[in-house]
Amino acid sequence: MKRMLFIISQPPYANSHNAELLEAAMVGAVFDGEVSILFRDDGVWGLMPNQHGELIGQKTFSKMLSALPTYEVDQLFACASSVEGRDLSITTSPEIGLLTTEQQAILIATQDVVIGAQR
Amino acid sequence: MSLHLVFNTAGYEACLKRKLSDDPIILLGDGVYCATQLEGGNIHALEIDAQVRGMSLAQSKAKPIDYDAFVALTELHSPVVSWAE
Amino acid sequence: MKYTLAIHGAPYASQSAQHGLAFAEALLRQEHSIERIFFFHEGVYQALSTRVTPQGEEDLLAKWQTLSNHGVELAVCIAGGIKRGVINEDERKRYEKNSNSLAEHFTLVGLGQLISAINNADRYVEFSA
Repeated sequence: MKRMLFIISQPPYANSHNAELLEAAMVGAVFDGEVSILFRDDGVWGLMPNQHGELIGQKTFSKMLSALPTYEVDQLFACASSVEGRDLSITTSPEIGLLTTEQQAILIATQDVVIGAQR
Repeated sequence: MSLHLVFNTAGYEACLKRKLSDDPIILLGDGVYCATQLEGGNIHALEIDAQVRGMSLAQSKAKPIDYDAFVALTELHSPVVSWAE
Repeated sequence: MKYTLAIHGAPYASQSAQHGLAFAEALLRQEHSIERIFFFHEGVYQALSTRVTPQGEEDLLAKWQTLSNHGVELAVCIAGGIKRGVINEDERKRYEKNSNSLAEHFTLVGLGQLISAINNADRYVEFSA
């Protein structure tokens, strides 16, 4: 089965790309893919606790995130310097591993496919 | 070895931090605007996208390529990673 | 080699279609095969049947349809499509809308079709917005 990395680089809520990518990641896992997700740059804003998507009639991104382990998507990572640079306390549930950029380069290089170019 | 497709200048910054040093890059779309300020080697630029924008690749470190060469690079490398911000 | 391509950008808001089309044409010229082209995020707007191409500009819809005539499957993410108004006749009936809007030669498919196309292909190439 393929090793698939999903990369999230934009904040949630201004568009629905992040939610759409999480859905694709869950389907990837359902199809027995070896799925991991990397949050980098402004994508790490999606890891804030206490989100309330319902206030603008959207799904709450952090709730979608916490559902991932039940789909056996538990390889979740964030760019350490993106988190530090934003002085951010990220969610602890689900558990997110912090990676240096060198570790991210290796994560990317060891995939069969990388999904998630955003703009 | 990965191949990196860079679609704009911010994508170039994000890619540079997270690529292995030997990995090739293709600049395309607004990514060709990076062609004048490149670091490192093994960088290609989609020539038609540079021409469209009035960018000359003559003084650039990037090698001009067409779509056939683009395809050939994707044949040689995996995964193909797209970078845009 | 077998390729799966993804188009992420809308027409007139990105070069996604031009990149994807030219890349797909080069693949076919070189006798590679295309497992599926998947239209994701705002890429679903590529499949709107009601688009009118301004005079003097390339008719992208016609170019996609030409690819389809070469046997390439044009697959639109159904979840992303219907919420943005790209619906076929079945969905028009289901949601009781006045008209459908999915152009000929495109199909609405689930995300499983993206993953299975990736699994069946040697390469996956994404064309960003």
